[in-house]
Amino acid sequence: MLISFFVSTLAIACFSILMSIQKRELLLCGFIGGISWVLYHILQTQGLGKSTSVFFASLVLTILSRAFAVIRKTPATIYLLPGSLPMVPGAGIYYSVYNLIHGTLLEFASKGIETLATGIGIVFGILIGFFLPQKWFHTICQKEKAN
Amino acid sequence: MDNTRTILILAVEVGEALLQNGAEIYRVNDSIRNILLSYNIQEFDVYVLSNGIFASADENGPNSCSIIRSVPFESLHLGRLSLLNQLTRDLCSHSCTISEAKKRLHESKNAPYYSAKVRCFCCGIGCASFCFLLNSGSFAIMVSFLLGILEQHFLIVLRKKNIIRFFQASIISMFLTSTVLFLRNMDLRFFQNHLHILQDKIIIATIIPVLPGLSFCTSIRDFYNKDYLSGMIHFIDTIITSLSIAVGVSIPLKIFYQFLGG
Repeated sequence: MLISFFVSTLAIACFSILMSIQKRELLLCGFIGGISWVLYHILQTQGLGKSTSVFFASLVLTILSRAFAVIRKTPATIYLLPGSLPMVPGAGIYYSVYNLIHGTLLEFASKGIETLATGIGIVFGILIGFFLPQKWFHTICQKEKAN
Repeated sequence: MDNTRTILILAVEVGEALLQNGAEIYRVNDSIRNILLSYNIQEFDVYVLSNGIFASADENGPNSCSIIRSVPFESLHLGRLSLLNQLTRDLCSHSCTISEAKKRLHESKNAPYYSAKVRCFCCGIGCASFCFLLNSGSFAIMVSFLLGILEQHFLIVLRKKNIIRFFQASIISMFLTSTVLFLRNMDLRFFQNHLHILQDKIIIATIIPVLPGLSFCTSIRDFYNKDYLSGMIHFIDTIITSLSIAVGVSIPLKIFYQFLGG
């Protein structure tokens, strides 16, 4: 698990370079993305469905990126975007097309719906992460500064 | 006194730069409003869409002025976004003068990308790492590293030639799929599957850089802030990009299975 955390941190930090994020934020981006990826993986191995685990992972991702956005005074998008990239269902798109080509329409339908559900999971994770009032993040951040 | 005019132009230009580099509507709107408010400008109104800004200030006064900017989506640069955010913050707290702000705006608009070599290398590392996370063998990881480098190189070339983004996604995914299918076939025929090239894992790992992450996230945040129109624009962008990736993947798959049988 530790290895997969480090590898996903590395991967997300690399993808943040593709989005031209400044050097001082790269590690943090990777760190936040790594945490949410590992959480997604753990939940999935615990037997939760794909969309549910994506939901919780993106919820944690959003909360973390909002907290760090307040602390480092940058837009939350900077952390949110690279972190959510591996969760966007590229695999789902691939498998649904694959099954469509092979004529296994039942599989195609189930994979397509799974892709859609994963997308919706991310949407609700991010939305509910943003429902938390901004004040909470400010008070937490101020406490940290006082320490 | 044309103070109103200078500030309005500055504020809208900051907003324009923000919008170009992938900010959500709410942030652009807020930045322009806060800059105008902090300079005590009265009776202003701002309307921001995902591809345009309309703003007017001092409507009933002698210095009334209005600005319209059409903002085509350029390219994602989150570093510029955070520089511009800092600039807005400084402008609102009056810790930088207007002429200084103009200079900084120019600087942040032209903040450099990472060099092409660094980007290619990082794309390779990123793709390889994801291939590893999907539990594939060492040869597959190497392949995805090389493919990632090539892919980013391709993307840079395609962007320079100003090819439509949807088509870019199609071409890239077509290239990836056909290369991987070719390798898989070679593997089956000549190495008796000893290289363990699993086409799905390599394709999934290397396709990540072309996925429509930005427009997806932005559309959700626009919906959250009740900017339904702009959210819809980004949402449609997401769907079309995903569909063009699907098309790009499916064409080589279809051809291979038609003629080589698998």
